[in-house]
Amino acid sequence: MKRAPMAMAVRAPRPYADPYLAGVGLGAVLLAAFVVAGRGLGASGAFASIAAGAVAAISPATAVASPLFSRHLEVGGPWREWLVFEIAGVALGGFCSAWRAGRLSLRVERGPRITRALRLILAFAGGSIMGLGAVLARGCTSGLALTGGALLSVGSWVFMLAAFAGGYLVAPLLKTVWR
Amino acid sequence: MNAPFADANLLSGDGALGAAMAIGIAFGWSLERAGLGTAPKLAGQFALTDLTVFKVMFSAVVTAMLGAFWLARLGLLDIERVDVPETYVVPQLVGGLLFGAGFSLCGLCPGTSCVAAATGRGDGAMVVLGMFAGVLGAGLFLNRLPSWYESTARGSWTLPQLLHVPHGVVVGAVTALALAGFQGAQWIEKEWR
Amino acid sequence: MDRERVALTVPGSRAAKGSVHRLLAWGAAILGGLAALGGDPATLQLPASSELGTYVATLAREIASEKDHVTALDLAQWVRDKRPGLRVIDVRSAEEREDGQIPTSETVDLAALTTTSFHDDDTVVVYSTEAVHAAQAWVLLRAQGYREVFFLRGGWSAWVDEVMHPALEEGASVEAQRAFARASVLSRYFGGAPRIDDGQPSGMTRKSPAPPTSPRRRGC
Repeated sequence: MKRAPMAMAVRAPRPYADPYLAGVGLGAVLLAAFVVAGRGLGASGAFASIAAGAVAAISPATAVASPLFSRHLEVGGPWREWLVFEIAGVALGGFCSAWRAGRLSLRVERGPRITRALRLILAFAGGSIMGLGAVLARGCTSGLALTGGALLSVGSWVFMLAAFAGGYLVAPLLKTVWR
Repeated sequence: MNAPFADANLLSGDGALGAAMAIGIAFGWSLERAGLGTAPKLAGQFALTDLTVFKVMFSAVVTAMLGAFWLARLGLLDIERVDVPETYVVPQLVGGLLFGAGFSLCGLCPGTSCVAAATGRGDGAMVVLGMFAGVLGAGLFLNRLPSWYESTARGSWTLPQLLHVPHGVVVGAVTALALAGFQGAQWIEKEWR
Repeated sequence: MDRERVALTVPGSRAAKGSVHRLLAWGAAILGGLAALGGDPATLQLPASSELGTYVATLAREIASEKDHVTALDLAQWVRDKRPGLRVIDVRSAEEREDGQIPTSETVDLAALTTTSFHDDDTVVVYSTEAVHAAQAWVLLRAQGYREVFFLRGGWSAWVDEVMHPALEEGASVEAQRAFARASVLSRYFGGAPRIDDGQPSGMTRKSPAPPTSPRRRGC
């Protein structure tokens, strides 16, 4: 398990699609969201919505007091939010695609020089920092960068440039993590 | 002028939620096809060894931007009724820096972490848990600095409004920049490999 | 599509890949270049909006010349005369309707007004408690192209004051007395209570047989 990933499919995984074609496909999905729903894609909003639901279940007063959570409690409740259904679809779509391409596999992907445990810790830490950033920025790669990028929102482009800058700033420190 | 079909305020209907799931499935499928459900590939963006993230992201932005512009220009889409993400300059600058640093560290972003987790990647599941912890913590922490969180709010502010040029000019400029960026990406990948 | 994708995902089909990339790049360049010349998405609607502009100007003239509303007494006359095609629309809330309604009126929620259909030659009179909602409804209906649309000036309050409880002040002019006479006839038709404020003989009954309390809806 440590060396050889346990492949679920018998045949070899298919190579990934051409990035530009995949990008055009992704753009078409985004455009479909504009046309059908009048809004873009999103991911971090779904996390916020679920977090809002969890907090509201434990302590409604805390949820209402938070400028982040209260927003997700307004319309229809956190469990019937558009983004929660969308993110469930993302997981399902990703699963189906990987299954068709023979890319489903139970493993921890990591750089060659770090242990599995460290990789999992860093994944959690990175996820937390990213979550904090997404809350402050009110969106993530999908909700702000892709959606707002296509709609030419100033804040989205600020976020996009800042995110790349942040990524490249810490990248030199992460050489041992990935290479 | 008949699109968007669902008004953004009427999203509690079951039809809208069904559409959300269908769009999500297509979104997840596209991400996985592009190879964005696997952390080392995304980390390659920041190590400049694999610029797939840049290529996919900007092809998607350009496609949707051109599509939205031309549908609106032909009168098929009322672009005024599509939700433009709101601008909060300073929180988005700071949030963006943190987001990028976290992205670089864990190798996945919120959407792709869901794909990674769904396709069996343990690290993807940890990123999902971390994201959830981060959002939860931030949501509770925000009670203490609501004024900063709401600062430099500019509403639905767009680049054409900022630059005082027609929408189409910005669309053309972004397209040109992206095409130049793709050339640059091919060059970087060749040089750094 | 499938064959294309396979060709593109199999390493070694570099030529095919290159040509697709060139195609995409040219497509983006052409659409982006034309967009730069294309201006704003909104500019396409200019002919339509200039047409809209003249229509809005027409509406503005109607409002300025006071062709947009009807007085309570005129409406009472129309209702009494059973004017053909008359439709009186009540856009008040259920709570506001508790005070009563103008006879023959139909209750339509303001939000549902744009989906209510009328005949082209119907005379539509809209009323609300005062006149704000009704005036807004007038704009909505005129914008939909209905020609004979009016709102009740002063709304339900005016109906109560002018039709249900017309009053003649002491020492009123002959003209006012004549108007009062007309109002009284209409008022009694609707079960109202015309009164004269002080004992000047004017040939009118000082006390009406109808109860002076609330003008409950009659006959419908």
